[in-house]
Amino acid sequence: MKNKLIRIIKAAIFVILLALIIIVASIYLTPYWRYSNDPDDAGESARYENFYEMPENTLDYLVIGPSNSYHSLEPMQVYAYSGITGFDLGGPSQPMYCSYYWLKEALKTQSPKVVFVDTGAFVRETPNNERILKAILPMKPSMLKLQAIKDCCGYDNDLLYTALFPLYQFHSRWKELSKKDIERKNTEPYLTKGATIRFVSQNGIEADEINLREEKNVTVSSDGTVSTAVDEMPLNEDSAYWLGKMKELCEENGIEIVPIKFPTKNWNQRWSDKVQKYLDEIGLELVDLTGEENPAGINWDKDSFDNGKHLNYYGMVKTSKYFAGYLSKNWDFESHKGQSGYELWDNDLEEYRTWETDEITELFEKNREKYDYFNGLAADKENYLVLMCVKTDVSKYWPVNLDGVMEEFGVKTDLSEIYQQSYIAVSDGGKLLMEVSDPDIINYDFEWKDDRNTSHSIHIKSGGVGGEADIDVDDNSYAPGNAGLNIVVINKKDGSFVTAASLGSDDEELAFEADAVDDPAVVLDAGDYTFKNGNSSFAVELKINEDGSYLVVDKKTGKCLSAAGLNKPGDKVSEEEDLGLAATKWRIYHGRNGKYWLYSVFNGMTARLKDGGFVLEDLNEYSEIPQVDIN
Amino acid sequence: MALFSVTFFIFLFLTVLVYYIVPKKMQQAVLLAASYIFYCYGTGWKGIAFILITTVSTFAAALKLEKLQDGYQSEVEAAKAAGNPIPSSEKTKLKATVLSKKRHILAAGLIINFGILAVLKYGRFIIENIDQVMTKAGFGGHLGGSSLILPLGISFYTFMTMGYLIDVHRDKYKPDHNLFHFALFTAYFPQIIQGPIGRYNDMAKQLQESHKWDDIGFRTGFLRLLWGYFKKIVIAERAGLMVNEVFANFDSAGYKGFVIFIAALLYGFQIYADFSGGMDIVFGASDMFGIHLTENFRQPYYAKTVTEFWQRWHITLGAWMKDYVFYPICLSKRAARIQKKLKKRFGNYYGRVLIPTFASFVSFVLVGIWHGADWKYVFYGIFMAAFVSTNTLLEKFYGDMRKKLHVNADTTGYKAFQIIRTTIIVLIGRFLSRGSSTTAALGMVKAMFTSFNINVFTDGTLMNFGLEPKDWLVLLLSIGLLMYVDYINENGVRIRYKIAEMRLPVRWVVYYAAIMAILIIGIYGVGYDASSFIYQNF
Repeated sequence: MKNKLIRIIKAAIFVILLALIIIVASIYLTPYWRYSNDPDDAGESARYENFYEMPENTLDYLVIGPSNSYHSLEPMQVYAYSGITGFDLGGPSQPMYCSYYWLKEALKTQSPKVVFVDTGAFVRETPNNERILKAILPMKPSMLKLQAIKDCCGYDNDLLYTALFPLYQFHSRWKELSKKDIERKNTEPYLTKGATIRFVSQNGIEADEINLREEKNVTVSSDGTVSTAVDEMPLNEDSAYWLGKMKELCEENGIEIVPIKFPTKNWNQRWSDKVQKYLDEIGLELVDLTGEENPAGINWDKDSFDNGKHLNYYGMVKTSKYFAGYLSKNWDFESHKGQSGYELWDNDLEEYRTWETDEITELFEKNREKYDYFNGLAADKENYLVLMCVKTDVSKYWPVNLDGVMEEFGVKTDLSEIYQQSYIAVSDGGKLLMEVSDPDIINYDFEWKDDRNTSHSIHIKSGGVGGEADIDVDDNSYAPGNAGLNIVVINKKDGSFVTAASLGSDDEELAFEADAVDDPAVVLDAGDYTFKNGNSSFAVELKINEDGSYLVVDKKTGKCLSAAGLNKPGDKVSEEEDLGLAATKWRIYHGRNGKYWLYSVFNGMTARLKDGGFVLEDLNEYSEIPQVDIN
Repeated sequence: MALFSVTFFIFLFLTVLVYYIVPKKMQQAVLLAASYIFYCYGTGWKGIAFILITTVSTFAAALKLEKLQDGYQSEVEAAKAAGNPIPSSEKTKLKATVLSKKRHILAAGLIINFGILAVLKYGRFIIENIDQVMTKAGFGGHLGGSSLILPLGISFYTFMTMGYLIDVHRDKYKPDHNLFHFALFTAYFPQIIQGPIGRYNDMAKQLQESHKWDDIGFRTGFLRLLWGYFKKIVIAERAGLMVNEVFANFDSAGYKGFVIFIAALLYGFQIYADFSGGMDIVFGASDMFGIHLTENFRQPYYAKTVTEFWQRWHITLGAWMKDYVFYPICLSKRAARIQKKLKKRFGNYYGRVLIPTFASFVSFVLVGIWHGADWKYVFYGIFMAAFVSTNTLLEKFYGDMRKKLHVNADTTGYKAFQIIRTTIIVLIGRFLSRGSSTTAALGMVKAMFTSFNINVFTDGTLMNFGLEPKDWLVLLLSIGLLMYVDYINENGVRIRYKIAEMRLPVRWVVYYAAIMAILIIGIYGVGYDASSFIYQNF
């Protein structure tokens, strides 16, 4: 008897240990759907993992549904604008029954006032196994999960087995197991509260070319006649059933449920009408953000990353800003900013601000780097001996918005006009010592004394088309030697080397290359200034943000210039409170004739002062840029 | 319920649990119930009718045979006891009458049961052939044979029960008087799917005895089960990725040279790992019940001749053929008469071996046909038969040749040569059984020899069969392991028992490693159906 008992205990231990080993193997072999800037990484694992980390009962609203749900609303932006907390719980092509179970799961720990359900699921017919797994696998083990598996995965045995026993599908991943599977982390800090943000500056095609949901069936017959018939896509009645269940669930918990269609071109009015018919039966009304009214102000030329299907960062900022107002207006929410129990939100917002700026800056980095570099040099020009020479050509792709910096160095030559010529210039403390351009090779040797009166021998060579470019100080060669403008900076104090860079001006080699890019240029100190252009003038206070960018405060209103949601030439720059978001961050760079020009960190555009206000303009490197006098 | 399935695994362990929980005398009932549940699950209620017919008819026929024999004997003894013994001429006559009656019963049993097998397994093949002939002759062929079902394990249980009937007929042992015991022998679930073809005299006692729980027995059984799964899921299924592709699309994809050679070589390992892996599961499962079945494999790839190969591969089928086909032909009176004539014509040696040569030829053609209802299996049988039978026939010739060439048959080198030679013959034979048809098989052999494309090893061709470099590595290592384990077994070491006797932590590590290896590097899951063992359909 005793033996029997021992045997049973041993068997039980064996089975338990085996189960543990299998669970560990499953965890590491199941893909971690991380969040990154890669279009393939929408961060499903990260989303749900992060959701479970939310303190209990701290979310005011939830958003659920297919991709448009998490590609439209940025809870962090909504929080910045309103102090209202929420989470995007949707998933790619999420069918309504998956949404139902996730809502039920969410309500275990959260008690939101309102739940928004994107109605995209009404037009999806065939579920996609991989996407369903992305919704089901990250769910914590529970009876509810089993029920969810039964209802969401029952239609396909492979899917069912994988949901119950992930190794069934993922065991073969032992072959591709890599560091990232072991780490199971995101490459980005996960601060988006379920939102998946694509930092892309503009859509692939123009708005009027987008016709995703025409539902037209074009046929060409043998005699060449083209006929078009409306090919109506049937709506998915199943979704109505599950939406009804969600409504019941919400009613039981005293939650308001709002069916919503987030902005997308992947939709049409007919669908809105049909969905509304289903909604009539369960007494709900669709909030349609796709129609002509366009309350969020989406500009489809710019606000999508995939030809109108989903919103990019700009579209999301617009929608979020709109939503912050919409939420405050329709529900009785209070701002949780600074409240105890919401420290996580305030801390994350702090981190989000930096992250957002970094991300958006990276998008325009190619331009910004060189502006910052050259403007940074100009800001410290008194301390520098600047040596310049050209290899092959500098004129063809010379960015005119660097002309102002060249003026700061005392350069007189218009670099965009010396086509395929050799060029050498030396600027000492902002004063031009020499400047020469010539179609032939130029060699220039001279002795230069630093502030301690030590003499240095300098050799500069500009070898013309195909020739070499050299800048040697005391026989040390510093010039990068790339085609275009080569620049070497020497410290006037002791003759030591500071930095070297090249600005490609070859069609193939437009790259900017520098040994070190300093912190962004602080061209102007903080303080009160007046911006002037023609008859317009604008009194501001400039503040310097931690990252070196400027906050431009309108003296009249006390609010800051903001490009929030603006990304189209002609958009009028608005004003808002300083929320520390990228939209209110600006840079100021040297322009020509002692003027300056503005650069929006948010969208990489410049702004013209016109009729007492600022208007956005595209930054065209090769033509005139709008400048302001700043006193 | 395939041997490789979670259902089988759970079913097996539940049965083991119940088996050892119930009172000892109920154990047989548990096994019989489990076997019938298993059978119904596999074939459905309709299929079970056939196994019941075979069970009952064989059981009854055997009893009848015994009755006749006993009747004869009691008559003789009664007469003797009465002091009036039957004269020997009368006795011979009486014996002949009884024998004739017994033969009728045996024949009836054989005809009914082999008849069922023939109709169900070969019916479609025969009908289709008749259809073809009729179509060619202009009558049109519309017999149609596609509605026949093939009950699970029919080849195996038919051979087992018919062996039993013949043995009873031959008076080798007494028939079973308990229908339930006999039913269990026929339907015993671990072996019903793919053998071995057990013998009643080996199994009956074990099946009827009760079994106490035995730690070592259970552990070795479990280990063997895991080893079986490993062979099947890690080796056979992985090798199958390339094998299936090359054999299926040989024509359209134009595979040749080394690609075919590798596929054929892999097929050799695939079918071995598959079949013997299945056997390991069967044996392992059966060991857990304390019932030890007759081994079906003995390191076949270490065989030195084709004859020896067949003594190591699917042993129980070969043994069955030997006992019930080969010997009856060789030892029949007619054979003796013919042998005399042959000796006169061909001399003593050849006269003596011609009959066995013929008998083994017949046996192997039957082995071929046993594999399936297709002409290719007939040719496969003939091919194998040609080697096995001529082996006997030409033994003297080979010996003479070796002497002339001064080859010493006892050196390792010669043994290695023999092993490789046998492997190649078997490999070529495999084309016949695996190729989609005999024509395709011959085409493949031709394409294999007419192209020397050694560059397939380096140009990435081999990565096109669903096998990535890491898969190849696993495949080669696991085949190496398989051959190493065989090598150890060949030298009489039984690893399972060694492991079973080790300390618990070591044992458990082995179990866990094996289970996780199967679960992780095994080929199964989405888009992959590994659930049918190659030998299940035979």
